[in-house]
Amino acid sequence: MALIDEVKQILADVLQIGARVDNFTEDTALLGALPEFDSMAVISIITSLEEKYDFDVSDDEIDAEVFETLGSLVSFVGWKLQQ
Amino acid sequence: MTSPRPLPVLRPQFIPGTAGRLFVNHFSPAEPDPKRHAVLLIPPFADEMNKSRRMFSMLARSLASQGMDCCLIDLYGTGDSEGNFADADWDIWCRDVQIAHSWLVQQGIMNISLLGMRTGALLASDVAQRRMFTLDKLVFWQPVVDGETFLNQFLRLRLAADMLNTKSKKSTSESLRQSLMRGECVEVAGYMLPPALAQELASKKLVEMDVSHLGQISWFDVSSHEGASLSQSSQTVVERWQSLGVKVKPSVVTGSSFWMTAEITEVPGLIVASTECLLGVGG
Repeated sequence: MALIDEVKQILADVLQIGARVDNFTEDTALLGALPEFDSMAVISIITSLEEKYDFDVSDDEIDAEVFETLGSLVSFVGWKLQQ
Repeated sequence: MTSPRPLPVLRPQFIPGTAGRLFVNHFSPAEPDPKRHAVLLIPPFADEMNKSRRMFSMLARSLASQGMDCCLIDLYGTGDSEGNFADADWDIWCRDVQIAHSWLVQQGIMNISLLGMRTGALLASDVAQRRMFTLDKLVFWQPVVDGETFLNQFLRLRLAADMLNTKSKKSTSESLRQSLMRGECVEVAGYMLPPALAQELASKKLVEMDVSHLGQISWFDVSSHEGASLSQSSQTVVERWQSLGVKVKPSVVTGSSFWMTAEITEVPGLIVASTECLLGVGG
């Protein structure tokens, strides 16, 4: 599965938005655009990513830019995986 | 086909607690089992408690319809019990569980099990190791194995909230921990976390709980992946306990993380497995 599809799967699970995620592209805005995207959701997504990919997200990496779009979130995960 | 059993009776009420009155939901079977057994449900922390309410209610109805009493307790300073979250305290919570246990005994119920969810599993284990009463069974739902890791994840909620609110000054886990060290409450996701509770919670590790005297511990983890094995952190505790002779039986149920999903979700498989385990059927 491509990384973007794996991240979409996590968003669907955590935000409980089901098939709506199928239409998401790299340019889909997340933070401030999805009503489900609250602080609890941000933390659940980070925790899910940490568990799935076995990396640690530090405090200063919890940044609004990361969650701006699906594309920025996928880039962040890709970057973490290369660390 | 069996004939439908009469619906259980829900008796919500207040009982006297350690520091204030406790709100308990007592699910009483219409036809109590002659064994008169009950399970005391120990909820998870802060908002996880709200998210888990539905699953607890489903389990209680499932058990009560088969003759078992079920008691869901709101710990002091949470839910509809008296006190504010800022006054909540680990030791008060432990004693509240003991009080709820005694209250069930007063109702004529002698065989009592504890089911702890997330931090509730840490609390249930801590109560069990104080050996104030005999326990029938101990059941965990997605237990928090390390209170400190959990506390860090909880404090992160504040970081995420600050991120969403561009006007607020950005906190760090370190600055929040320093506030707690200075004896100040820290506001996280609408909860005023008291420093003593944070400190107590951070000091709790499941692996250090002395539960070797218990007959059987049933450990349920939930994973969204079919056929998933126990998480590494759970596996470590289970192996350590088994090496110490603790009779712990782990299993993984497929379903969503209902204690943290945005919408309220159900994991029917967990209700079925827990009902079988508590009623003592199917081994």
